Amino acid sequence: MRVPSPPVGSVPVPLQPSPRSGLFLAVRFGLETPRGPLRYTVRVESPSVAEAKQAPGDSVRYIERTRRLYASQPPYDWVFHDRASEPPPWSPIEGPVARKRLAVVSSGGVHLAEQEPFHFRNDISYREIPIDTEASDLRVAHFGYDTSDAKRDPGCVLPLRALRELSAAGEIGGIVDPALSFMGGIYSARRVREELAPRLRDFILAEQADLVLLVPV
Amino acid sequence: MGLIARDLEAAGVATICLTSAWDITAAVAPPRSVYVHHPLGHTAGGPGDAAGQRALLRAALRAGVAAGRGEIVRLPFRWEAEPGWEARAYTPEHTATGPDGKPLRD
Repeated sequence: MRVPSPPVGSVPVPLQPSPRSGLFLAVRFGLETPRGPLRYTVRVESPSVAEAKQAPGDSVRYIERTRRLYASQPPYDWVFHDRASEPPPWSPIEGPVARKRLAVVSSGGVHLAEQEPFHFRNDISYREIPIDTEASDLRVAHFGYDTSDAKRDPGCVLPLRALRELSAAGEIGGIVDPALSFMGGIYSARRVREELAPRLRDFILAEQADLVLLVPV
Repeated sequence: MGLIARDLEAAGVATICLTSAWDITAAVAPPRSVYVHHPLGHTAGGPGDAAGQRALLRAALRAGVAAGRGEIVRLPFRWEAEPGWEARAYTPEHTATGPDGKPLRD
């Protein structure tokens, strides 16, 4: 089921349950009885709506806040997956992480100092970041979040140092080198599906990763 | 990123999404998610906090591999650097720019 479409990162516009969006279904019916008519309404919510309502009370409602904050911008093309009709694909993880070859992808907009920065409108390119890169050789370009801390330490959104440490300690079997980063504020879900996702998939399959850590921002 | 997680998983590669935006993640429904209650831009930890980033990554991998299909598992981390950050996040008081790179007017 395709309703409002989502971004790949932290950015723009709303997901508002409405009868038209098909997020819930109300069924009304009546019975005639000797004591008069009985009227019932059965309201069925999609599991995703139920899940959204179960969000921790302290979690920020980013979809609602971005709708207001970005009111002056073109509407964002959010994607919504109904958990009942479009459950997430599933590849089981067998065995410990200590035996896994881990690939890492961040949508925090991290790039090398000598690489071209991300431009913001529908930039679906990605950058290859060698795992051994020092924080001082990295830059951050992303419009959709406060990047001041990530610019000081890109490990906030792409934890290269922590990956190196866990790998050295044997807690991760191996790391695909380089890590990948792109700028998650992409307004076209179609281009993410049809262009960016296949490119990242091809890279990761060629590297024979068996587990991928994704850090959306 | 949830779209990419679903794409990879459909191609046979297991994924773990480390997210700080519960509602966005719940809408996209990736295969496995780990939620950390930090402001956007600090999902993997605070700046210069090597020990914290390491602990968070370790916890995320541990919880992620144990997560069920479609599950979002909350990690026991709190953001102490800026009390009350939740009220200011993504408001005109505390935000970033538009996709044209310019400050938002409203």
